[in-house]
Amino acid sequence: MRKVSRRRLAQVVVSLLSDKKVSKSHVLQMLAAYLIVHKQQKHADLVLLDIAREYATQQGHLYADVASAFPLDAAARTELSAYLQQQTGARTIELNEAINTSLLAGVIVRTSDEQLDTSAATKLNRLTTAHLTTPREARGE
Amino acid sequence: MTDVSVKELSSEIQATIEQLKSEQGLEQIGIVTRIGDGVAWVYGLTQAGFNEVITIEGTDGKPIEAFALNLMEDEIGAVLLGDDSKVAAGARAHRSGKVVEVPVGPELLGRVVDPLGRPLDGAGPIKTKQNGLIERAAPGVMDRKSVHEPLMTGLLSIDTMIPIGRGQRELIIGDRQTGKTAIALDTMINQGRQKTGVVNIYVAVGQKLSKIARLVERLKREGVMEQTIVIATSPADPASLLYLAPYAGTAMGEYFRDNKQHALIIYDDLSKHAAAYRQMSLLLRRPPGREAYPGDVFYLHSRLLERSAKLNDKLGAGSLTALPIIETQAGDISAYIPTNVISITDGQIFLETNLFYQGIRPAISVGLSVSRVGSSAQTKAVKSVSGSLRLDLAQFRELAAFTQFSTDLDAETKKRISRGQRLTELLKQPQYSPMSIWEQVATLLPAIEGVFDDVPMDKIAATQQALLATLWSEHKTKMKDLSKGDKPDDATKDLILSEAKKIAKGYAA
Repeated sequence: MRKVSRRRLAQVVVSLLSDKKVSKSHVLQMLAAYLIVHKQQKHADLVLLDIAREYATQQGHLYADVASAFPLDAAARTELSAYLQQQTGARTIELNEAINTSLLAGVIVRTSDEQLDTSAATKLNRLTTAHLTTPREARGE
Repeated sequence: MTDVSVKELSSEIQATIEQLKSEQGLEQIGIVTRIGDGVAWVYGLTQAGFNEVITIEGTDGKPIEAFALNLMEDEIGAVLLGDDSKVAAGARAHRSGKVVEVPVGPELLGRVVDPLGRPLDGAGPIKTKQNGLIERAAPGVMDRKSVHEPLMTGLLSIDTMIPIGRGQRELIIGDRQTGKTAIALDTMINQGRQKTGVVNIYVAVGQKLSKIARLVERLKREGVMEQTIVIATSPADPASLLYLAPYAGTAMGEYFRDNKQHALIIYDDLSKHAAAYRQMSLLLRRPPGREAYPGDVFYLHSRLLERSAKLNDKLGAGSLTALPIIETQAGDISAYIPTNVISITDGQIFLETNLFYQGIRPAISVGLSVSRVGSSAQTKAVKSVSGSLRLDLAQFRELAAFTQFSTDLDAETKKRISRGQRLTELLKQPQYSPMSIWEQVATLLPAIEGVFDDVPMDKIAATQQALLATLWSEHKTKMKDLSKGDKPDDATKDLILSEAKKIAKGYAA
């Protein structure tokens, strides 16, 4: 049997999920069975990411994980949603917020395949790599 | 630390901070699903381009670069440019939006760098004004001019019989330990000695670091290192770096070619380069072909060597001459990679183990070596004495088998054999002693005129040395004029022949 690409699989799952004649639990059962039969259980998380991306493309609903050093206020949340809408073209945005103090400041927003990293920790890391390491260290020697 | 360096450092960090600001935005990310043997398979990054640089977050928080070679529907195969032990499955990968680049420019002269332009010689950082693309299209037909200027190697046998022109690609091919690198090294040294202004680029592909160190030391001792760039990779480096090294060297050479200068690039050697590419291709699960090399191994070398060219006057008339080296197994030049590179290049210098052990060094097989375009670039001076040399040697080789029956041979055959033996003796040349134009003319002219025919074989070298010493000490101006490359006039020829006759008489049996 010809191997079906994950992207094609995700497209089919999203179209089935949006079909009101088929129950969502049945679709998920079918997906789980498919992954088991084709020995792709370890790729389940990647398939879910593909489904999330396909869902955003087809249904215009974007799901994003937001990590920030401090809790987001309403203004920041609105600004972030507007930015994501403008950048991705999604109609609705769902933010899943989490606090990560190691970021020091700023936010990291992750969708299925894109990322917005404004954290101070990343910037400092980039500066360190660019200026405070010798070429030998940069090569890992 | 001086004031200036503090200011420089400050402005540099300021520029990086500005760059960080502009980088901010939604960027595509991928996830490493598998990693091993220097190859990472990355999920996502659907918009990554071929050869695009990808940054992978290492386990120690430091980024590791890779470049995308296999673009497939669900994942991409990327070859790591660093240590694969620092990358774990699940690591995030980012697109850089650019293909692999290396620093180029005169700042690299005198330095030993890796294929990404990072210094390996401990002489401080290299700050160039420009970067060059590792993969770049070769100049088109209308951008080129036919090869017409000589690139003197300083080796009598090459400059006379297999002349190389600026912009030519001449393959040096032979078994291990036959003097392939020695020819390349002598050619580099000659560029310094003759003050040709040609920039040397030596690309060591998977060479022992001790060998590279010796070579650099020699170049320094000969005073040629200031006009040389060495790109070094050792067998311990990842295959990706070995694969990139020749392209990086070419990018550095192209800078000089495109800026009205002349450069010489030596790829030592392309057999190891093909093997590194085979390793990468097999790990990327590309289908193996003949000798397990991938189907595009010809294109691997043809696109590389096509970038060596002589540009037309409109583009500055610069040139990039390539001397690729190929190592054969037991003299088999009909193997896959040797035949490929032979067909790509404009000729080959074939070195034979037998000749090497007979003491004929450089061990060039005159019959199998050829230069397809170089003769139009040969200097008139050398051309005037080398016209019949190939023919004389070819006739000698045919007759050489009869030398053991020498008593039964007619006078004419004996003469040809004797002439051939003396010519062969004269073409022997010690390493690190390239000859200038006047030395080549003064050596060959008496030989082809038969002046050395009565000199015993074991005294040929001494006779040659005595002649050169006399001519230089007594007729320096004339010899300097001869080195300009013009065809020697009758007076100069007579002068050389008369001096040669006097000296030969002293050594004659």
